[in-house]
Amino acid sequence: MVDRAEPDPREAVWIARVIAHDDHEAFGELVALHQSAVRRFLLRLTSNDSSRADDLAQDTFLKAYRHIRSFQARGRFLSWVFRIAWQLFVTEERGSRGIAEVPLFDGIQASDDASQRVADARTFDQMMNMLRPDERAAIILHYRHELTHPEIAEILELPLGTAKSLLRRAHTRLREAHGIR
Amino acid sequence: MEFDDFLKNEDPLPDQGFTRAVMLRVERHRRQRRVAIAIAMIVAAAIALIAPPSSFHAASTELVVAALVLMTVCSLAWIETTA
Repeated sequence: MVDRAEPDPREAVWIARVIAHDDHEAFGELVALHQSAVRRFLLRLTSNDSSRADDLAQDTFLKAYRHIRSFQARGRFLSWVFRIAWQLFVTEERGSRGIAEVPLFDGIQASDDASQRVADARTFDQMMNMLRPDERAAIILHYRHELTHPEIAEILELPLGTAKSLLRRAHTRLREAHGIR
Repeated sequence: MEFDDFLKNEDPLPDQGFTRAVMLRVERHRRQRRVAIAIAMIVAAAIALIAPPSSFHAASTELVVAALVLMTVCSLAWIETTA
């Protein structure tokens, strides 16, 4: 599992090997290290369409391989890969059907036991799917990967203030849906 | 448990051949790059063989232009497959 506090120390070595020697195996290690984070991110964005998410994830890593020289260790490698994934997702959405409008939270009934509700993966998926893709992305990047507001703004290509309000709005909508006060 | 805890406690997705699939695509990309460069080299060799020997001795403007164009094509092919 990739965690904000513990970036894999081997990552920088693998990146350097790919850039300097076009090292196939080193790139494979990078893919293996980050595949779960990137695929889960795209799974959420595509409303759990695993086939589409995996296709986009493959495209993401291929693009990362082709452009790895432009990474130049600015920030975290995973953040850079998330940015590519988000760009590909948005491009595909715009090319196919546009980013869909989503309904407001009115279809989920609050139960008495908040902990039980949150633990229910299906309910959580349902609520995440009610958010807009950019809100979903902001939630995952902030709460799952502990990225900062500027990092999220860079990945989603938004002004910092917009990214902050996006995250705040998404957070509020999720809390409302959970009935957590 | 709040939703941020829920997100943090999600199990990692098993690879299930994903990395291998990506690496196959990377390998295909590298092969395409090699093919593009090989084609450019073959074209260069063909031009060299077809061109009359006198043109080399003369080093005409056309020859210089052709060489520059070929060099540009090779460079673009390289950039396209690596950048």
